[in-house]
Amino acid sequence: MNGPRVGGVLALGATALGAFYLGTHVERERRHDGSTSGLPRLPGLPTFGTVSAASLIPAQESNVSLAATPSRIGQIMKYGFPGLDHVRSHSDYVLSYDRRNRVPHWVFEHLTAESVAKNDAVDRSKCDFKQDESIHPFFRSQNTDYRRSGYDRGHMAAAGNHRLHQKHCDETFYLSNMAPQVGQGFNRDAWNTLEAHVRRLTKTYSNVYVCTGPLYLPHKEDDGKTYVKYEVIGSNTVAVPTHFYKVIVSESTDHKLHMESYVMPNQVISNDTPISVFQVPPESVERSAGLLFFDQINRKQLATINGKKV
Amino acid sequence: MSKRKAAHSDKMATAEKVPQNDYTIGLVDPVKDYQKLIETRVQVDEIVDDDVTKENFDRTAASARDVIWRLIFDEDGTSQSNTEKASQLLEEYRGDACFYDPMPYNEWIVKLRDEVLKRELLDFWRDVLVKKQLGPCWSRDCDLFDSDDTPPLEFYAHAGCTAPFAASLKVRAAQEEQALQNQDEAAVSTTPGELSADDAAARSGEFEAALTKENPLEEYRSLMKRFVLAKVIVPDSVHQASVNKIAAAAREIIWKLLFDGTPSAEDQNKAAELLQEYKGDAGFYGPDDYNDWIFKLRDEVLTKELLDFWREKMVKMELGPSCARDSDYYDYEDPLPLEFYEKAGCKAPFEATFNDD
Repeated sequence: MNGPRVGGVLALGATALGAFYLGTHVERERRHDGSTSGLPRLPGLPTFGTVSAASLIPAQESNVSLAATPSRIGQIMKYGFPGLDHVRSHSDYVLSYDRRNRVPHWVFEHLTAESVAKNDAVDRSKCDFKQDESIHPFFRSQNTDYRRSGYDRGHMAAAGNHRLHQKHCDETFYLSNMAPQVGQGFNRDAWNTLEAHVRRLTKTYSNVYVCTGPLYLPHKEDDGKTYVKYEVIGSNTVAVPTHFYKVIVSESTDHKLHMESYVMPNQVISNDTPISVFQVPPESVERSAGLLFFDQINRKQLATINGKKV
Repeated sequence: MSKRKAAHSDKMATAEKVPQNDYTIGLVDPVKDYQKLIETRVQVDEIVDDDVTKENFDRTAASARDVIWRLIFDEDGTSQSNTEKASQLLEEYRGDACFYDPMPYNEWIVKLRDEVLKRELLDFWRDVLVKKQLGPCWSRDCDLFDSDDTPPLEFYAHAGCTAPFAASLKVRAAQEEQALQNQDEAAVSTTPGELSADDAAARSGEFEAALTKENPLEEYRSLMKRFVLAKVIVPDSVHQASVNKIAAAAREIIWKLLFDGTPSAEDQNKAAELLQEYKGDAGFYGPDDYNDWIFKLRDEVLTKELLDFWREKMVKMELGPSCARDSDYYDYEDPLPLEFYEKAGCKAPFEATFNDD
C-alpha cells in the first residue's frame, strides 16, 4: 500500500498548486471594478413561471414528490438557472445536459437536514447505473463507455443528498448525471468528503442550495501556448473533465446567505488535504464554466464567501 | 439460473456457437468461456436495454459462481489445476461484479469463505481470498461504494488473518481527524484586486499619448501595452478611441522624424521601425486611417525626394496600404494595392497572384 500513498502525497502538491494557480490566475484577470453589476440583465430569458426567489422554504416542510413538479423545480432553482441548455428535471434535482461531452453542464440541488438524513426506506445498494433514455442515442453515455476506462461513474447530484424517497435516490443513478471521475483518491474519497461537507451544512443552515458540474481548464504547455486537453472514453467519447466545481449557498435561520465555492482536480488527492485548500472565488468558477451561479443574488448581499465576511 | 452438468459444459468450452439462452461455462477453460459471455452479451457497444444487459450479466455471474464452487469443492481432477482455474475465474468475475452488480458477489463470497474454512482449505483462504483481496467489493475497487460505507474488514478476520488494507484504514482515520481540525483553522484569503492607475486610464481612455524622437517605437509599444492591451474590460468606443489616439501619435512622430529638415539615417530607421509596427497594429484594429494616411506620407516622401526611404523602407518592407497579405480585414477577392508602389521606377514587392484562381 506504499505506492498509492506516495502518489497521494505527490498529488497533494500538484493539486494545491493547481488550485492556487486557478485562483490567482483567474483572480488576476477578473474585472477589477465589479462592473458585473453594471451589466444589464438580459430580458425575456425563458424561465419557469413558478420559479421565484420569493420566500424561504421552511426546513420542516415535506417536499416528497415523485414527479418533477413545477413547485419542486421552483424551490430547487430559486436563485436562478446557470444556463438553459437541455434542462431536465428529476423528482429531487435539476440537470442541464451537455450533449457534446455526454456529461452534465451542471446539476442543481436543494438540501435540507431532512432530505439528507439516513432513511431506512432508501437503500442505495438497490440502485443501478442506467442509461438515460430521455437523451437522444447519439448523445447518451452508457455503462460500456465507463467499464474498464479507469474512471468511476461519478455522480454530480450525489445519491446521499436525496434520501426522502427511494425514487429520488434511483434517479441520481441515470448516466446523464455522471461524469468520469478518478475513483480511489477522488470520487470515493476527497470528492465524497466535499459532498459530505455540503450535507453537513444542513446541520447549521435550514436550506442549502448547491450547483455541481465539470470544468475543462486550460493549461500552458512548453511552447508557451495554452491548451484545453481532456480524455474521452468509450465508443460514445464521454469527456473526462479536468476539474469539478461546487458552488453552494446556505440560508441561515436569520435569513443571511453564505456562499462557498470549490474547484477540485479530477485526480488522486491525498486524504489529508483539507477541502478548504480547494476554495476559489466564485467568479473564477463562473468564468471557467461559462455559467453564472446564483445570479439572483447580488454578491454584496452575501454575509460570507468561503468563510470570509463580504 | 439452473445448475448445469459438467459433461455438458466441457463440450461448450470449445464450441464455436453458443445458443442464445445458454450461459454455460465449461471446466476446461472457464475464464475464456466466461470472458466470451461478457464480451458478447454484456459489454455490447450497441444500445441495449439496461434490463437485458443486467439479466445477461446476472446469468453469466450465476454460471461463474457455480463453476467456481465446483472447481474448489468437487473432488474431481487434480486440486492444483482446478484451484488455479477457480482463482483466475474468481478474480475475473469479481472485477466485473464491482462494475455491474456487487451485491450478489458480496453475499455469495461470504458463503464461499465459510465453506473454504469449513473444509480447511487454508492455503486457498490465505493466498487467494485474503492476499488477492477477493472479499466483498467496496470503495477500494468499486464505484458503487464510497468512503462513508463500512469497509469489509470483518470478512478477512478469520483463521488468523486480517484484511491486507487494515493498516491503511487506521492511518486514514487518524488523518481524517487531523484534517477536520485543520479545516477550522484554514481560511483561504481572497484579496480583491485594486484597480491600478493604468487600468483605470485604460477604462476611461484618459491618458497622454505623446511620442518622442528619441525612442518612438518603445514608447509606442509601452502605450499600447498599458492602455490598449490591458486586461480589464473596456467599452468598445473607449478602446477604439485609445487605439486612434496612439495611432495619431505614431503618425505625428513619423512625420516629424522624416520631414523636420533632412532626416538622418538613424531617424529614417526609427521612422521605418515604428511605421512597420503601427501598420501591423492597424491591420488588426482597423486599417482605414492607415490606408488613407500612407498615401500622403508617400507623396511627401517623394516630394522631399527621400528616395532611399522610399525604396529601402516603404517598398522593400512593404509599408504600403494594408491588404489581404497582412490583415484579416481583407480576403483574396479584394484587389491588392499594386499601384501604390508604382512610383519612382519601383514596383510592388509582391505579385498579384492572389486573384489567379
